[in-house]
Amino acid sequence: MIALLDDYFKIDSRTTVDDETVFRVTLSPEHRVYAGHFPGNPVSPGVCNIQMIKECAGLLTGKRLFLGYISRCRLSAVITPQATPQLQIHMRLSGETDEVYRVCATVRDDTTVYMEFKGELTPM
Amino acid sequence: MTEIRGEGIRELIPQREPVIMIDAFYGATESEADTGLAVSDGNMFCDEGRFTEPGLVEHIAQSASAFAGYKAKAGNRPVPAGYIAEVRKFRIYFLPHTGDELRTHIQILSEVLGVSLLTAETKVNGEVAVRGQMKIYIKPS
Repeated sequence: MIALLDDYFKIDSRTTVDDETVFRVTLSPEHRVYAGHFPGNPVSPGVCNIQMIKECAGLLTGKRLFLGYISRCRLSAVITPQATPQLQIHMRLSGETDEVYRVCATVRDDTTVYMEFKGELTPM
Repeated sequence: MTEIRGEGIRELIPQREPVIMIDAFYGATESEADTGLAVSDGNMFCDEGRFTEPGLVEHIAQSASAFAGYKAKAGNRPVPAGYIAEVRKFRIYFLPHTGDELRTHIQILSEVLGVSLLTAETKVNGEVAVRGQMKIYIKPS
């Protein structure tokens, strides 16, 4: 897999209650993406945060997953590694079959929701 | 128009290495534009020879950014920063291979208060790899 995991972010803890798992993560301000996004103004790219959701779902399922469908991913506030490095990813996965996992996830902290994500992941 | 590549692309978008995900701007009308990307194996979104999902989303977002930059330059305005506000009904049919040439067509459906809603389609050798919608917030400059 791309080394976004443990490189772009690290998982500090993971707690599952009923069907929801909360990953507490910390973004790494040294990741090379920030050199270009943007020079002098580091902003965590929405696509990297989507990748983060995909990787967390991969940990939950124990499988390598392909993101085949984004039903809706709403980015409602800007994440930066300086101002908002500590985030929570709240995730619900449903999938009765092994063919498609439906994932609902929010990326948030105590004050703000940054991203709401609904998509479909399939094992590769 | 002659296609825009290289340094000309850098003039249309605020992103820099290693996250430049578009390398050609083929042309535009008022509401549509065509862009491209040759996927190199140094691309930060390549993994085991495939151009992955975040790269495809970013390529389309930057295609929209480049279109906004192209229009800004034509109007003698500074190139604006843009953020993805929403991705929706976005289907990835297959992951391109390293070395593939992406060709993307975007069409702006509406522009309200700085938010552009667009549809996009990315093809590899004529085959549709991605089809979806995106809302891009273009920061007023």
